[in-house]
Order: sequence, then structure tokens, then C-alpha cells
Amino acid sequence: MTPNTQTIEYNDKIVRQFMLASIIWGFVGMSVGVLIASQLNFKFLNFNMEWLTFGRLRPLHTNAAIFAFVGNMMFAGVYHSTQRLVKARLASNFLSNLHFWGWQGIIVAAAVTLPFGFSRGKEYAELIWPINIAVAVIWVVFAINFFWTLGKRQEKSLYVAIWFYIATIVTVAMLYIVNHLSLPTSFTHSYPIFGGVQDALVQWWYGHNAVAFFLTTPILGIMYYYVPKAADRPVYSYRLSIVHFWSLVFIYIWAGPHHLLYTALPGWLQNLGMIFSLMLWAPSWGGMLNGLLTLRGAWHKLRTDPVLKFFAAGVTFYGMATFEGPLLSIKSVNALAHYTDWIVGHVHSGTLGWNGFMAAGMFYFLAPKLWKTKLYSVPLANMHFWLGTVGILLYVAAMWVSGITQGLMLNSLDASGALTYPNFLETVQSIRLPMLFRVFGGGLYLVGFGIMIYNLWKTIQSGQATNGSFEVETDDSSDDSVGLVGAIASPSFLYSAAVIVTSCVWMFVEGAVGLVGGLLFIATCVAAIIHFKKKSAALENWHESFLRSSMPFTALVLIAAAIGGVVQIVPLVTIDRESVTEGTIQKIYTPLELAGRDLYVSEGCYNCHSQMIRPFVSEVKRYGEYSTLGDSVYDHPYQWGSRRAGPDLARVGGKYGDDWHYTHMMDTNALSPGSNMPNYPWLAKKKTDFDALPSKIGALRSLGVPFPEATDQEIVDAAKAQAQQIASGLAERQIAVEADRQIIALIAYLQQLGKTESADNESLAATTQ
Amino acid sequence: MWSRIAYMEWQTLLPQIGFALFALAFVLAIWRTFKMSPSELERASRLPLEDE
Repeated sequence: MTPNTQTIEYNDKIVRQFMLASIIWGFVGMSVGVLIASQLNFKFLNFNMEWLTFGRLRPLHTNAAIFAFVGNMMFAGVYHSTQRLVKARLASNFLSNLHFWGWQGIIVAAAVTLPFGFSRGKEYAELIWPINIAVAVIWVVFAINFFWTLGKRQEKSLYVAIWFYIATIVTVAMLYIVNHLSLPTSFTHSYPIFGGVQDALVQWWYGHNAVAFFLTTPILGIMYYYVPKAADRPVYSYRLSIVHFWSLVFIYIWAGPHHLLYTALPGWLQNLGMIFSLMLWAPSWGGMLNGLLTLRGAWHKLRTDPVLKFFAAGVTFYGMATFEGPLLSIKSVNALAHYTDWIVGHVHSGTLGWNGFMAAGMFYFLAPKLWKTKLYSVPLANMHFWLGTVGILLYVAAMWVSGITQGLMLNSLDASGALTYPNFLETVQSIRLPMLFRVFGGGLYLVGFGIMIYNLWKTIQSGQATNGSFEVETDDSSDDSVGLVGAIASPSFLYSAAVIVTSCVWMFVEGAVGLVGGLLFIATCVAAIIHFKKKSAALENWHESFLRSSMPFTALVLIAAAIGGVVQIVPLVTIDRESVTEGTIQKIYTPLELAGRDLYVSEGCYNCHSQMIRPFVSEVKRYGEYSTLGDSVYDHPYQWGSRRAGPDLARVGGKYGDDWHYTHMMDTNALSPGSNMPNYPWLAKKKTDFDALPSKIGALRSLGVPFPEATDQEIVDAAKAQAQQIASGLAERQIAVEADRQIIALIAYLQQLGKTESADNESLAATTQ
Repeated sequence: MWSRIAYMEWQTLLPQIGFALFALAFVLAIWRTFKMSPSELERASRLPLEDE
């Protein structure tokens, strides 16, 4: 070693740990996926056990796939590639270990609480509030460790993969915190602070961007590092990668409302979601092409190298999924596809094809390096590839058939204008075969994954854990980075900001102020041209120095990502409710109905039933009057749903008798032959927690739900009295069940669904507090 | 039926402002990438290839 060089030993132990964790949890999450897909075909697989029902296991599957499988894989890839790209060891062994064990603890906590029915009732955000806090803390640990490492770096320039990692860290933190703001009522229960449409918008701002910034941006960073590495070729176009990054970060955040098309969400937001989703086509495909074209001149290696094979297919699936996403965001397409299996298929082409294959490629690339050996079997890796590819294609094609079939049937009207298929179960029976193919396709993928586990296990056995190292020249030159204040105070930033402000004033303000804005815009442009003519390198220097300082760059990324959310969410929080409730407003829940609603959330009913009737003739004929914002204004959390494995329940109240609901919940096939809905016998055995109601009502009252004033005892007494009334009614119909059982509370809630009253100014004022 | 969609005057500006902001950021990014020197582009694109 010369006096001016330094040998860096990377912390690859943490990379190995995250990689193995991803593989183990991935297998668990995918196995649960195959089980719940099977439950939709074979009802008996719910085993009449509460912790094994579809409604409770589906959140376990989605959370395991996203946070346990992709999360651990992402951390492995980020830590491995970042150390090498910045030529520095991870800043802290302690923080790295805390990150790893903390994240695994969170996963275990999720795996225990979700099957037991502890849920916040929002998709991919089901975990209860103590776990939410743990996630936030561990994410901060990750961020500190990452940025601290950047601060120690020997390579001054930040490669584009690092940009994507930075975007992931700051944006996920923002999304996760805002969507998980809750008011606890106990250690295991809380209510989201947002309700109704606000909750729906915040949820899909988060839900859509969990896909964007948890499942996409970190994997794109991984793509930009590992694909060139595996192909031994530089990235096709670094220019394109820069445009790809900024476009994606800016646009993605706006697209969340496309999950709520034709719902009661205000129309301008729906249009905004659709437009920005369509705009996403360009950066997504720019990134895909950049990844694929990096393989130029190396295509022949795909025949022999399983790593490149998985990467090429993974990037191709990224292209497919990001083509299909904007397509599904076109309102007329969405009218058919929403609430059907088409959406499920779309999501899985992304997770299995893009995330799963990029993970597999990365694992096959890393294992021989991290254990200093050779891959045990290339033929087994090839078998994994083909089983996985065929599995995904079967899965996705089956979901296309299923979704389009059911969507068409549900929307179909005969010549007289009546529903062609009035019985929802008819549509379920018609998709039995594609649902079976889904199980088969998913099963193939799982078998392929199992082969990978065996292959990697044998690979690891044949080698020895080894940490990489690198010799770098120490750089004693003066620090040319720029601080946050320096970046903002630079002429480049100030000119840019002035151009934005003055152009907005010019375009959007009328009269003299608008005219002044126009003149200032022109003056700013002229001044900028003169300034940079004199100092031609200034703007470039500013950008370059920006990239050498990670914190200002991070702030800029956060601003770019936050704009969309602010523009969409702030106006909705301050919306004029009187103009959107259409004269009716949801009736306040009685204490017993509230207890029943919490059970509805806990059992995960929203995984199969929506509470949102879209303004289509077929839906109004099938379910009743279309839903309005007033219908769910007091709902914390909202329960609009995203998939109809069963019918919409927005107006099911009063449609059937209490005895029908009781019998149906005990044995769904007794009243709905062929239904794949689980039975819920434990609801007739377990007791309603009446004593928790006062604190729950207190929490909701503080969130603006105008419950009538009552003492704790009055609340409990009212709940028990209503329960007794329902139990007595059931007894008259020869159904013996005690009044304090959960089924009674659930029936009370179901019978209330869709009950509204005239909206007066007083009640509206209360909700806008 | 379709009057249900809430539309307030000032809200119609938001998509336009959003698009204007994006267009500006997009143009700046494009302009910036074309101003980058070929040597810097070459060096940056090869960063992953610097082996251990």
C-alpha cells in the first residue's frame, strides 16, 4: 500500500444477512399467496379458523411480499452497491445490525398480529400503530446509516443508482408517516386521523407510491448498478438515466388518484391522476430501454448467464407492467377493470416479474461473490427462470381472462335495460377456471423460487463468507461540496425559482398583477441569459457541486416528490363539503354499530367487498344509488375497497334480515351455494368488547365525528340495549345467540350500511373542523 | 347525475400548474444532460464497472 492509498473492507456481512432474510421471507410470503389464491377456489382451505381466513391472510401476503421480500432484497442491494459506488464501508456496524434485526422484528410482529386480526384496515398499511412507529424508527436508522456512509465517501460523484436510493429513503418516509397518522384507542387499535374521501386519497397517495418508491425506485437503482456490472458494459445512456430519474420522481407521486376513478373522489383529482399516469409512460419506458440497451453487444450472454437472463426478463416485465398501469388508468378502461382480477394480474406482473426476477438476478450475482465460490448449478438456475416465466405468464393471462370476463358480466345489461347477470355469484362461477390457473401459475413460480433456494444453499455450502475490499487513493483536495443554503442562494437556483413564480403569475393571474408577472418573467429570462453568458460555467458548476453534496440533493428530491402530494391533498382537506355531499350525509354510528365496524375492519372484509357504488347504470341497478362523499364522511378508516371478490356492500343495510346475515356468516353456502366466502363461526362465540367503546368514541369525536354527548356508562348501556334488541329479534326466528357476541355487533353494522340523512349545515360544520 | 363531481374554479388551475412545473423541470433536466461533457458522462456511466 502506498502512502496515498487506503484499503477499504466492505461490510458484506449485513448484505448476506439481508439477502438470506429476503429469500426466507419471500418463500413464506409467496406460499401464503398460493394458499389464499387456493382459498378463492376451495373454501375449505379457510379451515373455519379465524387466523387462516382470506381476509386476514391477504394482508399478511401483501405485507410479506412488499416489506419482507422486496424490503430485505432492497436493503441488501442498496448496502452492497452503495459501498462500492461511493468507495466507503458502511458508516456504522451498530446501525447496520440495528437496521437488520429491527426490520426482522417488525416482520415477525406483522406475521403475528395480522392473522390475529389486529389491523388498521388500509391496504399495505394494516400494521398497528406500535409497529408503525417501529418501522419509522428503523427507517430513520437506515437513512442515518446510508447518508453517513455517503458523507464518508471517497468517490465524490453520486452515481445515478444512489439518486434512486435517496429518492426511496426520503419519499417512503414522507408517505409512510402521513398515511399512518393515527389516534390510538389502545395498544393494538387506532383510528386514522383522516376520514372518508380524505383517507381514501391519502391511502392511495401512499399505496400507489409504495409501488413507486418501495417497489420501483430502489429496484431501478439496483438495475442501474447490477445490469452494467453483470453485462460488463457501461449503462447505455447516462443522459437518459438523469432524465429518467427526475421525470419519474416528479410524475409518479401525482398518479395515486387513478386507484379511485369513478368513485366519489372529486373529478378534478381523478383527471389529474389519469393524466399523470399517462405521462408516466415516457420515463418508465425510458428507464426500461436504458436497462435493456445496456445489454447491447452482450445479448449472446443471455443464453448462458442466468443472472443476465433474469435481469433482461425483469426489465421487460417492468416495461409490461408500466405499460399496463397507465392503460388501466384511462377512465374508460378502468370502468371495466377496476374491482376485478385484471388489477390483481397487473400488480403481480410487476411484483413477480419485475421485483421477483430482479431479486433472483441479484441473488445469483451476489451469492458467488459474497461466499467466494461458483454458482452450484446453472441448469437449476435456468429451470428456475423458465418455471418462473411460465408461472408469471399463466398467472397474468388467467387474471386478464378472469378480470375482463367478470367485469363484462357485471356491467352487462339486456335489451330491456335489466342486469344480464343479476346474481353476483354467477360471475364468480364463471371465473373459477382462470382462478385455478392463477393457483397453478403462482405454484410454478413458487417451485422455481424453491429451486433457487436449494441452488443458493448448495452454493453457500461450497464457499466461505468473504467481505469485499477495495484500494482507493485518498483525496486530500479541498471540499468543493455546497451546503443547502449555498445551493439555494446560488444564481442558478434563484433564477429558476424566479422563472417559475413569474411565469405562474403571468399565466394564472388576471389584470395588472398578471401583466407585471409577465414583464418580470421576461426580465428574469433576459437577466439569466446575460448572467450565464458572462459566466458560462456557473450553471454547470452549480449542478455538479449539487451532486457532490448529498443533503441539498436530497432536499431537492423531497421537494420534487412532495409537490404532487401537496397539490392533491391540501385542497381536499379544505374542500367545500357542502358542495359534494349532495344533500345527504352518513348517519352517525351507534356504539354497537361502531363495534361491528371495527370487527369488519379486523376481519379484513375490505379485501373482498367494496363500499363504493360507481355512477354506472349496472352498478346502480345491482347495488343501489351511487355513493357520494357524504356516505362515508365519518369513516375512519374509509372502506371503499379495491377488489370485489364479493358484491359491494355500500347499501346492503336493510336489504336482508338479521337472521339472513347470521345464517350467512355462520355458513355462507347455506344461503349462497357456490360462494367462496369463508364461514365466521367464531363470531358467535367471541364477546364484543363493550368496555372499549367509550375510548373509541372519544377518539373519533376528537377527529371531528359528531357523536352525541354521552357518559361512558350511557355508551356501554346503549350498545348493550341495541345488542339485546337484535338478539331478541333473532330468537323470534329460532336463532339462539347471546346479545354480547361479536356477530350481533357485526349485524348491527351491516344493517346500517347505506343509511344516510339529510345534510344540514350544522353537521357539515362539525365535519369540517 | 354527473353534476356530482366537485369542481371549484381555483382547482382547475392545479393540473396546469403541475404540468407547468413538470415541463420546466423536464426541460431543465434535458438541457442539463446535453450540457454534460462527454468525459464526465463516460466516467459516470463506468462507475459500477470499477471492480473490487
